[in-house]
Amino acid sequence: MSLLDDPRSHALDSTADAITTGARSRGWTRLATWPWSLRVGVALLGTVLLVLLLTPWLAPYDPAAQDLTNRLTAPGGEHVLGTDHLGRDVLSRLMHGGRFSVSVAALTLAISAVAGTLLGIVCARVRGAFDELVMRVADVLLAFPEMVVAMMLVAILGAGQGTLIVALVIAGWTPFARLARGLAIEINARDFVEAAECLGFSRRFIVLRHLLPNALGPLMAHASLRFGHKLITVGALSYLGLGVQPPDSDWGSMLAEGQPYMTRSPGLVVFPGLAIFVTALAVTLISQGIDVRRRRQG
Amino acid sequence: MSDELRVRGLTVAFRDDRPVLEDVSLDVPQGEVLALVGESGSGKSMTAMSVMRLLPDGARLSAEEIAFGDDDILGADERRMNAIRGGRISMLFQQPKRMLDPTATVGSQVAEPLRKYLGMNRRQAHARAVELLADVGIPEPERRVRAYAHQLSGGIAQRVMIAIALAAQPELLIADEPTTALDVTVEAQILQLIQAKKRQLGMSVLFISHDLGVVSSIADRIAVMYAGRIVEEGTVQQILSAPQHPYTQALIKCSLLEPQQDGRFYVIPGDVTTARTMTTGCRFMPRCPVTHALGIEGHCVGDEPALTGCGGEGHRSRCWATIERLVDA
Repeated sequence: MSLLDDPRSHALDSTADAITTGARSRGWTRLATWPWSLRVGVALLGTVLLVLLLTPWLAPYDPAAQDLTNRLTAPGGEHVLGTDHLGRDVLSRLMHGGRFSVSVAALTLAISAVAGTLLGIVCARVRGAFDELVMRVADVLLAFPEMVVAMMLVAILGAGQGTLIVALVIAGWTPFARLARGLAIEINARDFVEAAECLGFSRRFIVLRHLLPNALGPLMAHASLRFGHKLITVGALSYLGLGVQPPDSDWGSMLAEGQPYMTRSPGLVVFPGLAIFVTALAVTLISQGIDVRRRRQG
Repeated sequence: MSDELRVRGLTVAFRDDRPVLEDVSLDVPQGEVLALVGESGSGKSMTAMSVMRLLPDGARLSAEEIAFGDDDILGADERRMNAIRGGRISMLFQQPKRMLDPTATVGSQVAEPLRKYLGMNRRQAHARAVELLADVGIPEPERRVRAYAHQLSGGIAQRVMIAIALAAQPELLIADEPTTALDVTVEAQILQLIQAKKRQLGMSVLFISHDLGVVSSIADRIAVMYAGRIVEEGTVQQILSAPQHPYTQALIKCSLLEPQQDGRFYVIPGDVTTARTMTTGCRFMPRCPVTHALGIEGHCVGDEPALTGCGGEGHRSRCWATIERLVDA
């Protein structure tokens, strides 16, 4: 055994020790090993989601109730975040609107990411005519702004939440497919994939066990970037009357509606903007934190 | 012994090019170590990947026979091949750290073949992985199973690769320059480990290397490859003490690393012949010192010599000079 001992291994022991004890501990001690970005991100997103979940009980007013004598009041007092041009409570509208914005953004993002990634991996595998077809379709979709594609679809299918989701998915899968395809081609050429092939593992096993984990980092980074973008697109479509229908609200439509009154009541624009910002930031922090944590472990 | 690797007439070509492997035949009887020796580009790795049937896209393989024991590798379907790879035949590679998935722990990668071939569950496989790591001489295996590839030294990583390759107790190990990327001290340890495992499992080894020194310590027989052809084969004794082919002689001269009279190291003149630069005659002819000395250029340019028996039992060489000598005698 002493003959077979690798002398260089001992120098590594101390670092390996610090890493593995951290990754293996459970419960609250484990939380302490999270990078700060992950902790802050989870706390922020958790708060946002909790508030949105409990909105029906927490919201102080009916979001659609107009009070024309109390229009455009400043934050503070009876209405914590003030009222809009029809005297509706901004806080309540923000809470109710968030449920719509966040759920649609998250749902469309999840569907786009999963579908796009799968398509990209299949393209990288089969190449040839199928790959060519999918990538050219992606080119065409990428040539139009997401909004135009969505508007066209809404025109065909009619406005509504379902249409909005379909439209955003059709416009949203392309970057994931391209990214996943490129990653898959690159990872397939790496040596450990060859090693797995030499061990007789099936294609499906290699994709699940080696390809996806290695592609996850860039895909997650992209997904988190897209989340804020999706929040805004949902809002923009609502503003154009293609998404949420008045008197319902979402963050984007509130931004748009508040715009004419920006100089008198900046809160009408600042609060929905802040809501989008904080939510997108939380998601970005989480993805960054996960990435840092993965890199610390290996 | 029945479980031997038999390759007959293996030829591999890319599209319209001349073949990168031509008419390669070799045997690895059970329990024996055959070393494939040659410069980069001589077709050693291509031979190995042909046996695994994992050639790069665009390569066309033809052969009279590739068989391992009762498994016909040439005719097996992909399903059967996947059972042979890793199950009956395993591979080691040159860059062990790059052969490990950076996102998975060492333990989970050792456990994968255990679960696939031995049907173990997660817990059993994990426990067995620790044993296997200890078995290949990795200190503190309980902790190392949770390490990632980047936390390992090259020597430890190659030990992990050996543990993975031998997890399902294969009957043949193909080692493709397994020590080339390692320190000399670690190299000796890895060679010892491979030898010990070979004896313990009774497996055969196809050992690929460019280093005759390494090969002499581990092999039973040696096959020397040049430009896609086997140019000489024989036992380690025969090849090292009585090399017949001028290329083998030159290789030995190179590996001695003794300065010549002019104070320089010996270098084989010219570049390795590739599929593109091949001519009709002997492939080594453009670099061969013997052909000029003997004045047999006509022979060497005209036809390629056959692999011909020379002297000792099973010692064969592909050189006109050897054949001439036999005719003279």
